[in-house]
Amino acid sequence: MNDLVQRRVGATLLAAILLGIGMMAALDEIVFHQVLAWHHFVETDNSALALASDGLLHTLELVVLVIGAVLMLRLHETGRHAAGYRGAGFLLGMGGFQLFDGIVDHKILGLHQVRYVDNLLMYDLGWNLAGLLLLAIGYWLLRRARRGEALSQR
Amino acid sequence: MNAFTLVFGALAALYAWGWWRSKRHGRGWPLWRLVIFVGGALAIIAVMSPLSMQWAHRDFRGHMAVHLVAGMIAPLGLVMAAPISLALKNVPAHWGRRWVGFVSLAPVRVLSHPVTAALLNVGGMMVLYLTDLYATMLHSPGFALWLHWHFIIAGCLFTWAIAGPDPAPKRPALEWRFGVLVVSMAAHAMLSKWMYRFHLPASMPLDQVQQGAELMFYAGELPEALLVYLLARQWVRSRYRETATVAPRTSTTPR
Repeated sequence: MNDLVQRRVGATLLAAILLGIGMMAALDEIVFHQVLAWHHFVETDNSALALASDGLLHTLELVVLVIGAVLMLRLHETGRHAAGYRGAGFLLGMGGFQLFDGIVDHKILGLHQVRYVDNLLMYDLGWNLAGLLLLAIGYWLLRRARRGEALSQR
Repeated sequence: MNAFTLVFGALAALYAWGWWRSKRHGRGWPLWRLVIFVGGALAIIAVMSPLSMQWAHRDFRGHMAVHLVAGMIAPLGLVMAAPISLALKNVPAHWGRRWVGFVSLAPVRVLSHPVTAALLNVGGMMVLYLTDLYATMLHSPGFALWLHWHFIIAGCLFTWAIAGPDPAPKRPALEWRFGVLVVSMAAHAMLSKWMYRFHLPASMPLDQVQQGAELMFYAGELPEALLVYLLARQWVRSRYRETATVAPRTSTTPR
């Protein structure tokens, strides 16, 4: 791959990964916080600091989504996107965020749990396996795009 | 009819007159800018009408809805319509130099710096909601009136300092403005979570405060996301212009 193509692939992957992260975060907010209300707006202890970190994470998710959209829009306007890498990056971003949310937010920071029930393990497994599955599909798409066999490259 | 109707009605009429005058002289001005300016002005007139003011006074959710429109959504329309640029097109050229001189004055530059604007905007809200000031405001009509003006003016100042299209030389770099925007968004989100959890302002019923805080959190981030979008577009465009102007120079053979 020459230098120019490499740059296009890098820029497209970056924009798509940012979009994936933002999309997964938005899905989490909408489906689990608002529609199902499995976990709530605030589940942290009474420490103002934990709430602040939650607010910061939320803001960063939104900023990431918008920046991803702007970058992707610009790549398409100037015709410099790399075909075949958009879906791969998007799924890698989604899966990566899901796994990050499941391990760092839920377990290490303990901001909230998936659902407040007795057999939490099943929910945690489901949450993180879904993330792994998205990552695996994203990786498979990435390899296919590298071989030049992605649907949009034919 | 109150002062808000008078002031913003007059501003909208003035803008429409300038738009029509530019068009007649063959120097067109985009219609969407007229639409968002008049829309912003009408939104302020609507939420500052006596009916909506009574609701806001009684109910914290009403207060939050009014604040959302007057302090965040309407300023986007008013500022992004570039009223100063339109005005400068319609007055003699030396007014342009006066404007540049005005915004280059040290006090004006300090006041319109993103950090100052963010402090006035989000900092003002923190003081209002986290202290007893909210209860004081409910019992003092004069202070309440002043506070409404503060919301509108601070919202416009913030929008202008972050992404305003009007001419302002010596404006802080895009990276600065972006950083301040993200920090103030985070502060806004934190504040609404604190209000929800710690029942602040304490003078209002808990369910009203919680629903108001949720409104502030979820609806408040839509205009913020729009600001991020506008700023990121400016940033990506300027980056692209840089690479476009640098690229040919590197490809030419040395003379």
